[in-house]
Parts: sequence; structure tokens; C-alpha cells
Amino acid sequence: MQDPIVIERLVKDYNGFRAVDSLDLKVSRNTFIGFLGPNGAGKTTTIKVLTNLLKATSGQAILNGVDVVKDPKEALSCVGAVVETPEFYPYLNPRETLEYLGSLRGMTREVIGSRGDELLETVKLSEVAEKRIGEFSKGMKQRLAIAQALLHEPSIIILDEPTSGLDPRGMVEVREILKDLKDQDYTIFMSSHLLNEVQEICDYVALIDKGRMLAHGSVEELTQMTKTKRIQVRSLDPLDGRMVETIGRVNGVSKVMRPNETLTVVEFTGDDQDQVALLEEIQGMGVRVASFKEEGLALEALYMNLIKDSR
Amino acid sequence: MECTIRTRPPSDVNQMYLIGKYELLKHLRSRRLLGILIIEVIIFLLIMVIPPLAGRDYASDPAEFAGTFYAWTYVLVIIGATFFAGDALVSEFQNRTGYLIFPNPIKRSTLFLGKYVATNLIMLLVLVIFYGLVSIAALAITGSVSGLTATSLGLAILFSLSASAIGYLISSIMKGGTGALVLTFFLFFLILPILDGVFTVSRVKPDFSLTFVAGAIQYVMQSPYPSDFFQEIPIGGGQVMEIGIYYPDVAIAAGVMVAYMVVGVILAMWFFNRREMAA
Repeated sequence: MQDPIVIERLVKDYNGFRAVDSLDLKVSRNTFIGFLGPNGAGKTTTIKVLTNLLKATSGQAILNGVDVVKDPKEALSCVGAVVETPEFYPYLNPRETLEYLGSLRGMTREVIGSRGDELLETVKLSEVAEKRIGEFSKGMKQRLAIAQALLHEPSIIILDEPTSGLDPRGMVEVREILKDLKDQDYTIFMSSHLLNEVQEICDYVALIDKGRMLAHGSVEELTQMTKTKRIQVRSLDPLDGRMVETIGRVNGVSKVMRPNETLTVVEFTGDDQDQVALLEEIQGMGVRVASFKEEGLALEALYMNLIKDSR
Repeated sequence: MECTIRTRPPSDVNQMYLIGKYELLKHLRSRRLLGILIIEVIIFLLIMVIPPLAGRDYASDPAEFAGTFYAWTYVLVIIGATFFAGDALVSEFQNRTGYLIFPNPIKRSTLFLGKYVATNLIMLLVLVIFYGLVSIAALAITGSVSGLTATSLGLAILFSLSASAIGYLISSIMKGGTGALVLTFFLFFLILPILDGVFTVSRVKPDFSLTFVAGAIQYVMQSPYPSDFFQEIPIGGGQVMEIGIYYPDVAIAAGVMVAYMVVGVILAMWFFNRREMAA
């Protein structure tokens, strides 16, 4: 069976500037892939080509076996998308908006009604279903954007930085919705520059910079590509300079940072045995350890290394 | 791979109908429609009220009576083209609603045509109300309605189709909605009429000008239809300047309006299809 999303040698030029440079990527069915890269890496440009907002200079962007450039109507027939934070027609309310977009996708009024109510409930907009969208906050618009993308239960969902610009509560709400989607039969392509968000939600990651693919694979595969991890040690007793020096001599420790007297962050490249030895060394100095945990930043280390190399 | 909910996008024609339906809803809920209807009623009332106040009688001939009103049809169409066409396309880019509508399985040309049809339906509504009010007044005051009203309305509809096509063309290439609205308005109210004047002074009949041929909407109510003539204007020193006073031929006027409509629609659609949601 063909992969639902296939990007082949995709190129997009803007007035002499190459925003996407021979990008290749295949996304398997039921994958939640995070499309990572710094600002200006070409993430949004790629997504805009996939959603027919931009025309590719060359190459192919194939959705469910159909090239978006050649037949956007067919290619997008089973795709739901949230690109940037879209604006809605202010003269319509959420229910009317879903009716409008659902009817354009060929859904019957009855199905739009039942599915629309269900989605408005999911994105917590039921109470304002009859209220004109012109007065909505950005977070409400983003949740409605997600609802419209899911309305026809598409096989592919494309999301461009879905939590961008939201307040912390809005980010949490949107992430909860995304986590729920992960358990369902969707292939999800989400761009983000938030590493923790990608690591928390996605199964697979594609890293790009300057329009080029740097690395892609499962989150585990990519995190294993870098041996560096961070270990955060929170203690009840303050660590003095001698103790920090001792920790620095433990096998595998490359750097010790002390944000404050009771919090120590260790950059660590050792294996599990070395990690045990590190904990024993700290406790052996009489320090009462309240917590000793790996920070989920292996992906960040890889990301920073790859970005640095590509510059 | 199919969607879980079994759907197929409707045909282009059905999607055009859906776009048109929601665009009409937009216009019906807009203040712009209310605004143009208020302007329409004010024009109608002023023309009804001024003659008695000035001590003059209404024209007894139904065509002459109605012709006084239809001189204002041009103004209504231009305001309509500005309000309903000027920013119809550019707003999708500037207001970012394009991010919502373009990723749907719909061709840009379908979207364009749905909008264009809705714009002209709403302008037709404005015209029908105006012609309806005038016809009722003509019936009440002169006892009948001139058969020329239908010709004038037909030309007004053609003018509406062509002016809105030009409005769409402007909207397809401008970056900002306000600029598109202003340019549409001034193009028809200032730029083209000035050009018409220049050609008239130069004794060239501007049959190619949309604003010139739009005069037929009013002149068609005159019997007999006015003919071109040359007028001498003293310019001092015993010298005179001869200028042409031209009246558009009705058939040519209709043809020119159709040409503007076709060219305007084709070009606007081409630009709209090519335009990217870059920002």
C-alpha cells in the first residue's frame, strides 16, 4: 500500500530564494510525524505546498497517491488541514462554518450536524456554537480550526504549528486534543519548532533546516543518535564546589551546571552503569537526593547539533 | 485511502452553488448591502421630492419620468461593484481566510465563479429594487410603465456584470483590500470619466470605454434615441473649439460591456489561480 504522504525532490523558490530544497519524505499510515526545524527552515512552505496554498517549483507532493500540484481537488479530498492560525468568516458562527466546509467536502447535512456537534463538544466550543466567530479569541479560533480539519474524518491531518501563539492553557488544551487523535486512525503531519511538544506527542520526527532534510526516523531512533543527555539532580542539601568537581570526574559526565544551590544539571554521555555510578557518587558524598531524572532533551541535543552542522 | 466518513467532493458546479450561497449570505448579513439600499432609497426620495419643492411638475411621459431616475443607475452599479467586488478576492489573502478555504478540495476557479455569481446576484437585487421602486412611482404618477424600462434594466445588468468583473480583476492583483476598494471606486468615478472627457474633446468617440457605454442605460429611455453632434465652444479671441457630444449605440454598448465582462473574468480568474498564499 502506498504511503499516504510522499514528498519527492520538492523544491520551492521565492524570488530567487530556495525555501525548500529537494526535500524527500515518506510518511507511513497511522503515523504522527513531527516536522521540526528552526524559523525559516521551510516547514510552513512545505505544508503550504501540501495544502495547495503554494505551487511547488518542482518535485512532487503526493497525498493518498495523488499529486497536489496536478490535481489538488482530488489530492485534498481526504485531508484536513490547519495552516498557521486561519481566520474564519466573521459573518458565520461555528456551526455554520462547519456546515459550509462540510458541504464543500460532500458531507450530508445530517452527518455534518451530528459530527459537528460531537467535534464542537471535543474542542469545547459547544456553548458558543451559535455565536459569530468575529468575537472569538485566537485560542477559540485554533480549536475551531482543528474541529473543521477533523470534520470529515480525513485519513491525513496536516497541522502547522497548532499551538503557536496560544496561551499556556490553550496550548495544553490543543495538545490534549492532539494526543487523543494519536489513538485514532489518522496519519498526522505536524510542523513545530517546540521540541518538547514533538517529543511528547509524535511517534516520528523529521528535522529540516534551510529547506533540506537533516534526519528523520522514530523518536527513539533519533534520540539514540545522540549519546548526550541531561540529568537533573535536585537535592535537599546544597552542593559545594568540591562536590561539583567530584561529580565532574565521574565517567560519562561532560559538564556540570548548577542553576541554584540545590539543583544540579549534568550533561552525560555515559551508559546506564555510569548513570548508576553517578547517583552513588552523589549519595556517597552525603547529599540527600530528592530527585534524579533524565530530562527529555536528547532530541534537543541532536537538533542543535544537526542545525549547527547545517549552518 | 478513503476518509472514514465516506465523502466525495461535489462537482464543480455544485461547489460553485455552495460558494455562491454562502457568499450571498455574507452580503445579506453585511452592512454594505444595508448601506447601498439606504443610498438607493435616498436617491429615489430626493428625485421624488425635489421637483415638487422646486415648483415643477413630474414628467408626464413614463419613459421620461423613469429616465430621470435611471441616470443614477450608474452610481448604484459603481458603488455595488466597489462594495461587493472590490475586495472579494484580496480579502481571502489579506484577512487570512484563504488559510481556511484554499486547503479544501475545491478549485480556485470554482471559488472565483461562485463569488462572482453571488456578487452579481446581490447587485441584481439592488437594481431590481431600484427599478421596482421607480416603476411603482411611474405607474402611480404617469399611469403606466415604459417598455424601455426592460432595455434599461438589461443594460444595467450587463454593466453590473462588466463593472464587477473589473472589480474582481483589481481585487485579484491588489495586495490590500482598502486599496482595491479605492481603486475600483475611483477608476469608475474619476479615471475613466476623465478619459472619456479627453476623447470627447479630441473628437474621438470612446466606444471602447465602459463608463462611456454605460450612458446607454439612461439614454435608452429617450425617444428618439439621441444622436451624436458637434458643439462649438467659444475659447476667447473670437475662436471656437469644436467638441463631440457622443451617445453610445445600444448594440455597441451591450457588446462592449460583454467584452469587458469576459476579459475581466478571464484575467481575474487567471491571476486568482496563480496567486499564492505566501504571507
